[in-house]
Amino acid sequence: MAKENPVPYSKRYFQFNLIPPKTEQEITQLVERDNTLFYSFLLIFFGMVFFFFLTLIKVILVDPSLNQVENNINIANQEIAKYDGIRSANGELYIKAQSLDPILDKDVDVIKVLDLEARIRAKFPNLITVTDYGRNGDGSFSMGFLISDAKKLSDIMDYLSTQSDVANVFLKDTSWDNGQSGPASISITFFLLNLTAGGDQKS
Amino acid sequence: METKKVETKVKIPTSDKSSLRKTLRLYVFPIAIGALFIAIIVFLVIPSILSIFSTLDEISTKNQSYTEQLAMLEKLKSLNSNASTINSELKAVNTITTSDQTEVVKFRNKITELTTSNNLEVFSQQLTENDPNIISGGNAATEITLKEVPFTFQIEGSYTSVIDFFDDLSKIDDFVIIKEMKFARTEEIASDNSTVWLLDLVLVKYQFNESDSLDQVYKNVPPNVVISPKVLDYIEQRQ
Repeated sequence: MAKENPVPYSKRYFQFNLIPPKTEQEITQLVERDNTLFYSFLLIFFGMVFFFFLTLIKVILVDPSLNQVENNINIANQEIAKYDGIRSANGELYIKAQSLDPILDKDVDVIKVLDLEARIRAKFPNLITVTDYGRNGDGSFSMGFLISDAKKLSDIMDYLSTQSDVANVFLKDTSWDNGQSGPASISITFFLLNLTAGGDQKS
Repeated sequence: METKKVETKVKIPTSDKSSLRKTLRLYVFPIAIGALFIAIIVFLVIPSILSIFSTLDEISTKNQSYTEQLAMLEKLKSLNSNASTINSELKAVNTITTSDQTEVVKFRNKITELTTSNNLEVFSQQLTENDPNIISGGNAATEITLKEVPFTFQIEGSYTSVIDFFDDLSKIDDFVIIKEMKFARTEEIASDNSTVWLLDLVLVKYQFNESDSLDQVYKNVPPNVVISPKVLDYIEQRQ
């Protein structure tokens, strides 16, 4: 005859718990001490109070600040709009000047070339007679002149190379009429940099 | 007697009712309240906090924008104090670079007048007004274009006449540059025993193509930009 188990197998299995089941007496004590309703009310109450507090912050402090800033921006925009005319004129002047600026670099400033020639003549009186001026494709200038004493040519080249507004002086062509001590035809090329009246010596 | 038996069967025993109430009170009710509290936090409190921080960020961004606008306003007030200078410079630029088609013919006539008034003899002149070069503006962001009208001519006269011509040319009220030049002494001697000089010159006149759509482009230029001093000098010489 098989031994009868007083508790069904399923009940034994599901009643298993790491925390030992409370006795009837303990449950009675818990029920007596229980303030579930009170604490539940507090929990919900404080949750709602917190939400209400945040809503108050938003409505009283944050939103008015945003409105104030937006209002300030609108006022500033209206003020800025009053200057549209001068703003447009300044913009037009700037854009047109930007477009014209690189073109001015292509300009052959003849007066500056003539000024350089005048400085050479002042430095070496009665020595040179200019025969031609020109502007080459690479932006360099050329100057042709007759020199009464070819020996002075190196002095002229030295003088030009000391000028701060002249660069890359190059003796392109020389032809002597009567030996290297007599008159000669000279052709030089050079670049002009920010030529100023009177010129400056290179330091 | 039979009826009483049935009632006993249907009625929940008192101990079971008490047990159910205890279960509800000790387990179901606290869990339900906890869930409600979490719902309040998740659906009300957290969105509210996020909304406040988002609005604070927006205020901060707009404050920065407002500060920039105030700075812009100060610059515009400063710019406005120079309004008469800017307007006269702009007027000068628009005058010397006008896009009027008749200006090209006027320009040719002006150059001819300059040469004759300086006792120079014109050998040849060529104005390529029918096929001008279109040059893009200096700033790629803008749609402004420049039209280049080259004018080639050869003149002859005394050295001082040519120098006077150059001087007059530098004061002409057109945006014109000398692109190429060859200025050489000839073997000829004039009637007053002065040397005769030959001038080969390529002048280029520039004109802007105007458009009303550029107004917004002009307004978008910051008020504190620096106008090219080289161009301002050029304009001043022609004012």
